[in-house]
Amino acid sequence: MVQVMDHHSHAAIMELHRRYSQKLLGYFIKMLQKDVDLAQDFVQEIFLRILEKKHLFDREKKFYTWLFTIASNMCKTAYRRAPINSLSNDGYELNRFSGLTDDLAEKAHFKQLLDKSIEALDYGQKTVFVLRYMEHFSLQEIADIMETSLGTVKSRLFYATQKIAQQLKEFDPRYESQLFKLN
Amino acid sequence: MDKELSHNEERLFELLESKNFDQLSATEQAFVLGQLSQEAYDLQRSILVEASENELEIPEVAPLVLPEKQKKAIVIPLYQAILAVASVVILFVLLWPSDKTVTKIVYQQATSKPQTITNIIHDTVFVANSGIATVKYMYDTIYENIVESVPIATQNRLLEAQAAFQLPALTSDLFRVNSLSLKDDSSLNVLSSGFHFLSER
Repeated sequence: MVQVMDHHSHAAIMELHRRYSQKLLGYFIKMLQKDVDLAQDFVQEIFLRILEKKHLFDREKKFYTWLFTIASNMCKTAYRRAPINSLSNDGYELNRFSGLTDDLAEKAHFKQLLDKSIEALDYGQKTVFVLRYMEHFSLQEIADIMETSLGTVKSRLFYATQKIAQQLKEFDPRYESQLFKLN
Repeated sequence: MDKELSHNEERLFELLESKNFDQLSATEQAFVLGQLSQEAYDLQRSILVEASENELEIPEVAPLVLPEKQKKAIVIPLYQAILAVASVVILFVLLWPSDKTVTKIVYQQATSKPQTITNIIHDTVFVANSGIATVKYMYDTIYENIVESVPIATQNRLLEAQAAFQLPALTSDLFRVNSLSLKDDSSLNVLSSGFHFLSER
């Protein structure tokens, strides 16, 4: 595809957009605090960057991985410009789930807390967490995207999970004592 | 700086990623309980599972808007500009005229060398050797020393002499007497008196 892009840039980029834009939009939404408009802008921008910087692509590597490397760098820049606020419990409304059965309400509440906790992670931990558990990349692919070692990826994932667990306990003491039964 | 995981942490991480607590073997459960409580394990496991199953609703992607094709501006990288300037300077230094003197030796053809007779005494003809002179030509700032023969006089060669050519006064030179006549030589008297003396004896 990148070879085609050398000669037929516009047609090739449209095809790449068709293949990967939805996946990228999801990634940007998760990384940019659910800001859909900003995520749409980022999707536009990333394809323009690919057009400009196609010569930088290492053909020995996967295009998909390179795409997410650029996407992650864009998110990193966004994080530097506007640091993510620390987690607060202002938005947690248990009453919101009052119409649901206990189990569903609890799950929905847990999901909301989890989303907030993921949002509160720092850039490095959040990126590996999103790539691993929400975008389903392998550990080695994440290491390539983040341009770091496998050990660092594992370490970030391990401590990110512990951090999220700690925050869930702090914001809802039920998780301190109560087991959250899966399935 | 990210802290590397210890062996136990790495093993725990792998178990968390792959199994619920009740799916662990007895050995694995014992290992996990040596690291953290079952509640903590379940909570962390539930975080990973919930995150993996959490399918976010992704809106439709906006169509890609590509900028109009523009004529590519010719952008010369800085290093290329520097190289170009350096090349011009080097060429300038190499080709710029210097005070270097070039000496050329011009070999003339012997057959066309004119000779000039300067004098004739008796049977001896004196011919002036072609002189050797140094002529300096100046071309702008290039100096060349060209050694070449330059005839002293531009006269016709003897054999090609025309009627107007006047020979030197050969007769007077040929018959010029620089010694005494025999009759004027006093030494003859001495010889003749000696001859008479011997004949009388």
